[in-house]
Amino acid sequence: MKTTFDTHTIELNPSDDGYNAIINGKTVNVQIVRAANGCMDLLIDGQRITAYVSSDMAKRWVTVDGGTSMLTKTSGAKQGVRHDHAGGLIAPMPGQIRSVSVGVGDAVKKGQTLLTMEAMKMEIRIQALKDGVVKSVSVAQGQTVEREQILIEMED
Amino acid sequence: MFKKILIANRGEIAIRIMRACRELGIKTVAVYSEADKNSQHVQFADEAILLGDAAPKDSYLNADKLIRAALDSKADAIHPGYGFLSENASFAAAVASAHLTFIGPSAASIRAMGDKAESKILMKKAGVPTVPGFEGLESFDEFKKAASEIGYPVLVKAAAGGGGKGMRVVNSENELSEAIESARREALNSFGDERLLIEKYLAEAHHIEIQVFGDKHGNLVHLFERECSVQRRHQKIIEESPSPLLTPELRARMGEAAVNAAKAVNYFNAGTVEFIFDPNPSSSLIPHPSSFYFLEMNTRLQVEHPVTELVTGLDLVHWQIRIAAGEKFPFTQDDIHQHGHAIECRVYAEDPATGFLPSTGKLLQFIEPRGPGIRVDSGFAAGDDVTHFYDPLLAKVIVHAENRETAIQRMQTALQDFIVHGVVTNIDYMRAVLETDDFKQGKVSTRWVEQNLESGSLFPQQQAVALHKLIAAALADVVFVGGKAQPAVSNETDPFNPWKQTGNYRN
Amino acid sequence: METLSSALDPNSPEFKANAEHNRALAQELKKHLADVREGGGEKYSKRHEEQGKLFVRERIERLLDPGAPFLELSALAAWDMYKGEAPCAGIVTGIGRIANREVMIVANDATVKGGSYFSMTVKKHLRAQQVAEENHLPCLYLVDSGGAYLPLQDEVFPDAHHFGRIFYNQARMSAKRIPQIAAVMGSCTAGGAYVPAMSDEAIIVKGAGTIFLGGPPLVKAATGEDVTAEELGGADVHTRKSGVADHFAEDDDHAIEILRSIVETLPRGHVHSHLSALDVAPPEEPLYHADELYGVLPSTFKESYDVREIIARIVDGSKFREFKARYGTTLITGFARIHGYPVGIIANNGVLFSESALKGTHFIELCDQRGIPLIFLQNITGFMVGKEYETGGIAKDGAKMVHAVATTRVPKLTLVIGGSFGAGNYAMAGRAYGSRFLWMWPNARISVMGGEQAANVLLTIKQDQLVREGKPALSAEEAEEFKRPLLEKYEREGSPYHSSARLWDDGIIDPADTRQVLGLALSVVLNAPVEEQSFGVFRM
Repeated sequence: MKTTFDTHTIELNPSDDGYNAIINGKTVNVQIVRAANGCMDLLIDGQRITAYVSSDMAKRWVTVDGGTSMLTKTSGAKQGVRHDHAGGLIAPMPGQIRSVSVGVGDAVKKGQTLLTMEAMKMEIRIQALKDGVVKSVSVAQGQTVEREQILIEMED
Repeated sequence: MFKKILIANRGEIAIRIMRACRELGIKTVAVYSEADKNSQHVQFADEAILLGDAAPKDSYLNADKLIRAALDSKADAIHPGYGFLSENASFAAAVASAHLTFIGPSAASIRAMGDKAESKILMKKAGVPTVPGFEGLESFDEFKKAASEIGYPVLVKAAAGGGGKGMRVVNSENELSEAIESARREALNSFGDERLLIEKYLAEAHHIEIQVFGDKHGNLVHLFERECSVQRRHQKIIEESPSPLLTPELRARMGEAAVNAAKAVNYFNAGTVEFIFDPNPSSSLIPHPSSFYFLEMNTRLQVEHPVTELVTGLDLVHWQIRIAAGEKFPFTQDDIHQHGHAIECRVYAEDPATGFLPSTGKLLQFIEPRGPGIRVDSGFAAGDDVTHFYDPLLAKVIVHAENRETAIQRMQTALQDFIVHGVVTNIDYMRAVLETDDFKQGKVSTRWVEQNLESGSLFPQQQAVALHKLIAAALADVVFVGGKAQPAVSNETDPFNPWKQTGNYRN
Repeated sequence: METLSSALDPNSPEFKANAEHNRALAQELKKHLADVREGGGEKYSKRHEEQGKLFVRERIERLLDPGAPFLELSALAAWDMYKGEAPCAGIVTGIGRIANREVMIVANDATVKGGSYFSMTVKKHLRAQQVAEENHLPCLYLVDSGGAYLPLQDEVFPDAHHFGRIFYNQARMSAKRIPQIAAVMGSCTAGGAYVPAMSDEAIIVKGAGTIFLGGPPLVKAATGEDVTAEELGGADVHTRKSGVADHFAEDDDHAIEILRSIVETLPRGHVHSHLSALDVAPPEEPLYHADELYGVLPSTFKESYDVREIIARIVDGSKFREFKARYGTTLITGFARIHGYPVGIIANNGVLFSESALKGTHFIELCDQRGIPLIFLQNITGFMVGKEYETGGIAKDGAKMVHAVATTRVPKLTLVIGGSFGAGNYAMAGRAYGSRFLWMWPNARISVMGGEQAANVLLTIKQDQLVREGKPALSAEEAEEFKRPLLEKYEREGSPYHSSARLWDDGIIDPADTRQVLGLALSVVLNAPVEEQSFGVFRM
């Protein structure tokens, strides 16, 4: 089972004597010695740890060695696919290109606005879904585009 | 002796006072606001009376309601605790005119010490050192003369000022002219008033206060000092006694000054005289050869009174009550001694990472530390709500040990064992403070937190969330399934369900 | 409540001999289970891995809450059938815990003939759906299947309980508010396409998952159109254009994450709605270790033993409140707890007489009235035969018990701990009597009567026939010769493996696991509400 807290993802898999926990590619062995009332005695790679944990909806309060952290459980699920088609960014609806702010070969950051288009009297910003490099730009300012027409292609 | 006391306060101090009442065989009446109806102090009392809405003006600050509650419950005295109405002279007077006893000093003493300007004049008269400074200066020459008299560095600040606006530190005479000009401009812009005053600037000032105690029969003693220099936003978070900076000679002088200050206002009951302490008095020039200056007097029980209780062995709340009832204080100055070292840490529901903004929520876990030499004065328990209406003090951890080093170690351990979930606390922050060389060497001045916050060096380690915590958090979802850990699905009809076992069973 | 005390000496030679025998049977079971869990063999496993897909059991492990139990159903389905080419019948079914809720998982094993459906695959899939429906368990389908196994289409396609029934069940369960969720992690062709299509929510994995009624070869043949599988029915098409699936997953792990998050947000529904009426107590371990069950069970059916020795090693604290202990003593009835849940236990302790059947009927009525689940420990050679008993109306008394078993509204769990022969099978809640679960121990035997008896019956008929025809009767040697094939057939067909292969049960379990399995099952059956009843308890 995978759980994501804030930006950290941890995977727990049952093992013969407890669990294997995988974080950042590192595997540690975890055994539960005792657990009751929000307090757990654990053996983590043989080291004895007492942890206090409380849950409040998505929040987890954890105290280990007197240090307390509040973690937030996030879905961890990857973002849904939006305006994305086989590595390309596509027009979500028919409209006209207002501006193109990148060119071929530009390195772009996730969330960066690459072009804007106007459709149904709304301005639509087409943003990079991940970090990468612009492979091709198939439209120019003022051009009219159809729904699902590929606008920009990206590569990693 | 009183038969019944109304405690006009809430939280840990209300419980502290009620406990003393119980020990003395006195019934207690709690008062509470709507927000506090499930609070610990309400549970603890023999009777409880609802004052009104959560807002303090409708509850704990409402003198009329408090006095009516005392009369209705047939209490014969009111203990105001600290904060709220504890230093309100009109309240003390109103309590007296209702033929009730106010457990504290006289209304006149409170009023005399309440006015900062007036009290400073009073203290000067009584021979208590005050921060050297001058008001009403106009020409540059007047300022120059005053500054050299006080000795550099000096502080030039707006008379109408506050919040650091129109304030300049001047280290030498050649900076003075420009500082006055710019401070004036700023004062005028900010307050519409260009008047400036000048006083001694104490770069490394410490806050050291002296506990005084007197009865209604003219006996007045001091119970030594408390060093309270670890402060954030002008509020103390760590206090200790004795101060690592005081010599016996200095201690005696400060004690004497404090007693003189109290006598000047005919003080009785518990009070505290606060001093600014300059650890480098060589910079103080004649005619002000002192290393400590009167700051103000708190005419009430202090939050940090347990520190004094532990080193002197006296129960201050007991004596407050007994003195208020007219008893004589049986000890003379020579009877009172300091034993060992005590430290108090105030556990606040506040987030050091956001500049100590209060944190509210439901306490999911609240496990207080225990052990030899550890005292916890607390007003909360697991399941309680911490609201934004009142001071976010959750509990005070006070330790007592044979010397300062051991006391620090004991406090470290106690804080480590204090588990609070549901609100962010300053526990980790205080542990980090105790760990610093500055604290260990007693070098923490009142500006220290501010300076170290800016440099960011003391933030609790939030960079990398420790591996162990992540593992524990992830495991909790498995181990405490459906249990208390998840209130949303906690209508547990089947607590022993074999599916909740985690033995990885496969048939 | 009375505590059962054991009369057995674990150090006696008989006990040790029994233990050795039964332990060997349990070891054999473990080995067979391990074998079938290997799936379709190295070649297909390698191909599967190369496609970046997780194996079916990896998928299930990651889907479950960590460390949570998984109660697998019919792991030995298709055992020794189809030339051994369909281990587990190419499908894994079972109950697991996800987000603190019990769910039914039905997962194709694509390493076994591409996950295609043999007759036993269909039967196993339908059985899993039946268990889900009866116990109100959300169904999660991990689809990775080529559809019906075409060479054997007549065994899987046309009949009432063939392929079409899967979708019928999905529709009926969905209507009963039992969630149907599919994750398409491989192909999902032809009829199989209806699994996600008929689901309430469906996930599809990029690259691996495809859904279409006709695959590229069929399209090519029908219309001449050249199209790739991904273009025809891949994740992108179905989540963006066709709407056949709802969630786009990057890979198997992502699909599992989505699946878990769907389950997390399902309404609690009927979960353990019946529980509030039942008084659940903290569980207690039995006083005797479960491993001692090996020593209690005799190595042959000829030896008798006291079934209370079994009960003492299964129930909480070995506590058992016996009902009608002095009456009809060949049937033991009484109340106990397993994992804290109250249960009524009916266990054979010899051949059934009229009184035993009446006692059983009375006890079933009691449990029915009190809503207490029934556990049948079946070890029955049949009803007593003979003139005296027939005259006494044993058939009518046996019928009463069969009636009660057939109509009781409380959940029944059946465990065949020894023989299951003749009408005793019916009275003791055999497969035909709708037990929510039925398991066998490895020592169990099931057939219409014992092989020896059947052979003797047939021999008697044969001899009578020879006498009628005026021929000489068979000699002792000839008689043995006549009986041998019959004995062999009964021996083969009476084996629990033969039964499990054909889904006559929900699996063979290690006797030492009995308490665990029953506890899990009790929790499962309590998910569904118990209907109101309309009659009181008849004294028999």
